[in-house]
Amino acid sequence: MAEGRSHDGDIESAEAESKPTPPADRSVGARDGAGRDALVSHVRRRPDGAIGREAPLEAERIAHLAAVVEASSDAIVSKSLTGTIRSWNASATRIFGYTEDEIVGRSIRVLIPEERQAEEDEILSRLRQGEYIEHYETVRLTKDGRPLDVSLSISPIWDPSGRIIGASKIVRDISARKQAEDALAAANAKFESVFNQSGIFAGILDTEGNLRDVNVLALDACGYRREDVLDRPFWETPWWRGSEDVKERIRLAVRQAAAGDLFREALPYWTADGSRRIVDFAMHPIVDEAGVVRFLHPTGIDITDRLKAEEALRKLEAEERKIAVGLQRALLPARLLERPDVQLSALYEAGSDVLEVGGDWYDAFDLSDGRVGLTVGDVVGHGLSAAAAMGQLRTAMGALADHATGPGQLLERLDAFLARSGATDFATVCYAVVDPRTCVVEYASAGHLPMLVVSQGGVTAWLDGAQSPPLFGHCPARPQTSALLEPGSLLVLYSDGLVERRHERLDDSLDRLAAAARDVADSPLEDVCRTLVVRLGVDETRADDVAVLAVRLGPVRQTRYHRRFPARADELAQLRASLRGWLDDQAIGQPLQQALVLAVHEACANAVEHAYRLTEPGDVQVDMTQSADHEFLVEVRDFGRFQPSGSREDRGRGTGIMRQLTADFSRESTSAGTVVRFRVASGEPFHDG
Amino acid sequence: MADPARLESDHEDGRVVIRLSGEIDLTNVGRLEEQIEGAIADARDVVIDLTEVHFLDSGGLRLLSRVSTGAADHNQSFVVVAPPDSIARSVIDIAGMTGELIVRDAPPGARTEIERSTGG
Repeated sequence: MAEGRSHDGDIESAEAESKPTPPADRSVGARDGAGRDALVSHVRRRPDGAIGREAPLEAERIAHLAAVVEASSDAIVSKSLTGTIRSWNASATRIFGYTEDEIVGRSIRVLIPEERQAEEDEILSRLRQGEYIEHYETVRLTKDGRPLDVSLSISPIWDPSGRIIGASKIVRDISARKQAEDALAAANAKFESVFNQSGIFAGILDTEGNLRDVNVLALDACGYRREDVLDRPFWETPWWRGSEDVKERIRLAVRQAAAGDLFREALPYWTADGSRRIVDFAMHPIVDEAGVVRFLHPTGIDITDRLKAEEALRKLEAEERKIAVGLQRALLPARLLERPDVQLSALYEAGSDVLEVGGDWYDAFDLSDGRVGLTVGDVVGHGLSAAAAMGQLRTAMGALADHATGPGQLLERLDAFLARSGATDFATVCYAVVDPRTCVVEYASAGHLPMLVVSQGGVTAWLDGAQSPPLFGHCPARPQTSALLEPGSLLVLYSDGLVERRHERLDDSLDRLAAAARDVADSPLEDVCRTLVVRLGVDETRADDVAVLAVRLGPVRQTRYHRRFPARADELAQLRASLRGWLDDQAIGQPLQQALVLAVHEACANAVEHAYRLTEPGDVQVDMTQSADHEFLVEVRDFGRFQPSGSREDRGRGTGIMRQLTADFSRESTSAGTVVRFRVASGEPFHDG
Repeated sequence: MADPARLESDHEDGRVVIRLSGEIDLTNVGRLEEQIEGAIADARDVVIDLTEVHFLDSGGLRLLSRVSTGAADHNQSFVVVAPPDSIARSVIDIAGMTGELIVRDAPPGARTEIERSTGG
């Protein structure tokens, strides 16, 4: 009944207002808003136009409607035209926190934030005019002062006489929706900024391939406007107009991405002014949580300038490599040293993967004392500067070699040269001096891998002594050492490109080299270098240069001795020395040597004494062949006319010795000269030692 | 040139020991022969030691033969020393001169000489 009293007050104020007409078809239901008030304010316009007050028999129906209001999940509030809260449902309590007892009778303004109070004035003024307010989004306050995003729907309440006596308000809590909307707005803003400000072309297509959106860069940089490109199949947009093939690629990109697969390819595209450029193009499928493709997202980065720069760089590098290779070939030995007492063979290959040429070199040269200098070196770095530095070092080494007291000192001098010339920062070098007659090798190494020796029996050994740091211009004292090799041994000098592999320990690489060298120990020397290179797998993974110098110590096993000399007595001692030397090299023991030397000497002495008495002085020629392990066939020839002198007895001694020492002795004289032939197979009666 | 053949001689109590070394061939036979003739002129006993001779040809043998004949003519004894495994001994054997010459394994005289020559 308290409502009735206040209601009367409202009726008074309502009377001061104009009286708009309630709509005919408004049903009472939830919109009426005021359950208990409806007892008084319930209005129905009968079809004949009269307004009548319902009889209390309607109370059941009205109670039902009240229950509906209470059950609503929206807050349903009614108020007087002055804003006093008349009714308050359960959801209003839930949303705002006030209980019905706390808030009924108070002003609705308590729910309105300070800055929005003017809204209520506006609302009331419109209500008085009979206006309905729908889905008005604003902010209201809860009991604990928390602002709440809400949506209001407000309708006037009429009394039976048609006067507006208040308003019913439905308040929906939209804070969740608002949060979602704000998040979406923020995401959109972020997307927009990325979409338009990144340095790439970007767009959005639907799954059919029609262009729905495109970023600013794709338009501005190419000179297109939005209306030129949107809402058509992407392959028909002007970027791709220059080639049917490219359009086909775009169609494929759409199909592929629509099927869920990324498409990526470098493609030509055209700008508005007709320029053809290249884009690194991709089409991304955009999928939802279920994995269904919802959009297609084309992106592109212009790579035209980058490609041009790469092409120019490639051309430049190819040119430089050509020059470096040419220079290096010019700097390497044109022809390898040839000597009868050592065989030499060498090989150089530039790194296959690398655009540039390294600083590896090899060399072999005569020394004034009859020995041979051998070297392989490696200048750090690549390209023209390394090749040039290598040339300088190689030349300097050849020039310094004869004046150094040994390999260690040569490397010291080379280091000093490096310091003066500044040719390079550092280099590794190995240097060996071989005496072919004694098979003694003197050597030193400046930071280089050890040289390999393989004897004729297949035994390998490393010359790994006398190591010092690489050449770097500071000339520390560098050691040297010697080794005695067997005749016929193979000596291999090489650069690290031959053996070094990623993922392999150096020891394992060196073992492989030793194994390969054992196999080629008896091969013809020209095959040795190539076989080693092939066996060590220097193919696709090698990035470094390879230089290999192979040396076979001799002398090459000669089976024939040949000497021609003036028929003079003072030549005979040299003949004997030469014979002994040759026989030593054939590893012939002393008894047989002495027998041979004496027999040959006697034959030659005969020619010296008797062949040219009556003619111009001439020569004696000795030919000797090893016909078996310990057997030699000898021919001693002169080109004069045999004229005996002295007593028969005297001559007999020499011949007697020869016949004793030899078998198959024969002497044949013609006008062209005399040939003495014999075979020596035994050293008897000579002894060892 | 031949390994220059050297000649050393010792005189003692009328015995001359001539030690030859190096290579003896027809180029130096003439020189050596003169030197030998000079060294043995007044000797009673002549010894030519060939232990250190590394080469001996028929010319060298002829030299020995001539010296041997000359010694006989002058009533001098003549002995050649050539150890059994020496080169000179082998050549003398091959030439079949062991009958013609008196060949000893070691120089005559004190043991010390033998030790010295075989140890040398």
